[in-house]
Amino acid sequence: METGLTKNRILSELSKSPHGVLKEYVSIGKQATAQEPEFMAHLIAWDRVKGQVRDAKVALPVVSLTVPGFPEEFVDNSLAHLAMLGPRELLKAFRFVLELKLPGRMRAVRRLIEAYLHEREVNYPKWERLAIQHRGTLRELYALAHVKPAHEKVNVVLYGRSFDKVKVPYPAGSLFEAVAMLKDMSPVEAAGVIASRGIPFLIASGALGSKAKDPDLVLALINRMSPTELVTNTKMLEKLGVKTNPALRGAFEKALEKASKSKANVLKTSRAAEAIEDEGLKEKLRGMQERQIQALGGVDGNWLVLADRSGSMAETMEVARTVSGTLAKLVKGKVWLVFFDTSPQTIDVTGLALDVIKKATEHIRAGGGTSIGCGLQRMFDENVEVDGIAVISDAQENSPPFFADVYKRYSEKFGKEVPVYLYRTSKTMPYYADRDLAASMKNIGLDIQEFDLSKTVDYYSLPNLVSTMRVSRYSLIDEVMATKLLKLSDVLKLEGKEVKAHVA
Amino acid sequence: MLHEFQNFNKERLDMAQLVALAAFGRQLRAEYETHQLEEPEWLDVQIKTLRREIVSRNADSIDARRREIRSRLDSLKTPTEKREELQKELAALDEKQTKAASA
Repeated sequence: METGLTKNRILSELSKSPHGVLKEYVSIGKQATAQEPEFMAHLIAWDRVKGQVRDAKVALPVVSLTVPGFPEEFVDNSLAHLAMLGPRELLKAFRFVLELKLPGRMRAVRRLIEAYLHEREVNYPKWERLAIQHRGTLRELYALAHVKPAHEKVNVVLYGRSFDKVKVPYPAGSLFEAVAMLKDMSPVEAAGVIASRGIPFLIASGALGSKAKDPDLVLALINRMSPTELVTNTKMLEKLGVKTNPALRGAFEKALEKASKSKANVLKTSRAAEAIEDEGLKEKLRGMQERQIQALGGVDGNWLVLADRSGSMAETMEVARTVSGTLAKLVKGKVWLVFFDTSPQTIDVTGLALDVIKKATEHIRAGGGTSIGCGLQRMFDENVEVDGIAVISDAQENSPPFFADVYKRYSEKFGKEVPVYLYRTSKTMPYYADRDLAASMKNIGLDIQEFDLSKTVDYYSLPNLVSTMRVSRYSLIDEVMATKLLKLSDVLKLEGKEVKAHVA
Repeated sequence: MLHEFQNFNKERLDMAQLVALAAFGRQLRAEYETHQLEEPEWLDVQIKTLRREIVSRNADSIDARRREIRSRLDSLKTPTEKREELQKELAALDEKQTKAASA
């Protein structure tokens, strides 16, 4: 029997966040690379553009390089994607490389890092902007890859000494000098310097210390915050008067508007909103997250979310709320949330925000038997046509109507096979009478895509999983395969001999 | 749109959404007038809420920008200008002290 990985399974496994434990990608990543090298290469490219999990961007190119016989063209793509990483992620990737050891490819990675570092040195003002935030990381990269800086100025900033090992202060007029002087300036002047020199929030707030509480400086800091920094520091801004001082309120609104266009921090915003006490600020963050989720886009059609409310499924119900809340914002069509035990309870959640869904369903409690099919039966009886189904359950059915039977009738009625996504939660010990949803669908020759949440439920990853759902069974795979591969020479201009010439 | 207009939460909306809803509210009011229908109470309440929010956000953003420009200008001052300002401030303080001592 064929037991290989399907492309859908690769996608669902690799969309999860391991929260820094990159090794979790190794087993499945290696298998996927060996079995589907071209798909893996395109997946790396797709993940860079559409992926929400930073760990995957770091780990996938590295894991793909561990597989011997990975075609050269795809190796080049993986290296190019490593070269596209920021310094912190590149360091993480290089440490991962050193841990995994890439037989026959270590030299290529070292050369890549050398080229990466030297290319950045060519434009000193740009390098300085990078180094002000990542000096420690850069120093570590130079050391680990045994690379020497090509420019003396770079050496001075990194190690505080010239090439002939004489201690030298920061270059006059440099960003580093400006940061060092911040604490001696008046708040108004310091705020101006932060704005005109574009000093990043983290660096400026560190350099200012307790002085950072001055409204002029808070305003300058808000303007320098990245979307993620804005979200994670909202509580601090609340204390600093962002709700009471009109100018700060104005700057905060502007920053929120900017952040709502970012796709970077969707997963953090709801957690940040929970930490805030002020209702107004809470609402602002929620509004921002709604716009961020809408910006993610990509899911069409009408969706049915079947949520298991049978005995001991309290956590499953919470997952269902999050999935339907994300879907409600992602799709242009309608979203129905159906809680089922042996009978369904339907709620139209189209366009509703997550907290509204939570409020509307807070009194629905877990208990009773399991009939996943009854939710779909309700849609069948009422002639409601959906384009996709998400089932959130432990997938063990024990009461009719069974999902596979209803699904077959539903498909015949509407003349289409709607894709089914199973979020398998809490693995319970099945009774002899239980029927597993995935197994019974397989028995009738239908494939369902499964997201395994049975070990832990990671609420940060859920919107990421939801955004991979499509109304056409293979359209995400097509989307992945259509993503262009990169060449290292397009990303690093100083690759190869030119680097050596440059260093000399 | 009507549902959104009746149930919006001003904190959740950005400026573009606020302006769009305000424009919708004005259109709605004009339509009631055209048909000589009695205007519902919520229409006035919602339009006023939207206007107040737009005006206050606009004032806030102008305030923020003014402060920003002021601090940028301050950072552009030359050392001579800074020295002159400090000397002026010192002179004013000296004068104040002399006045206080003589009183």
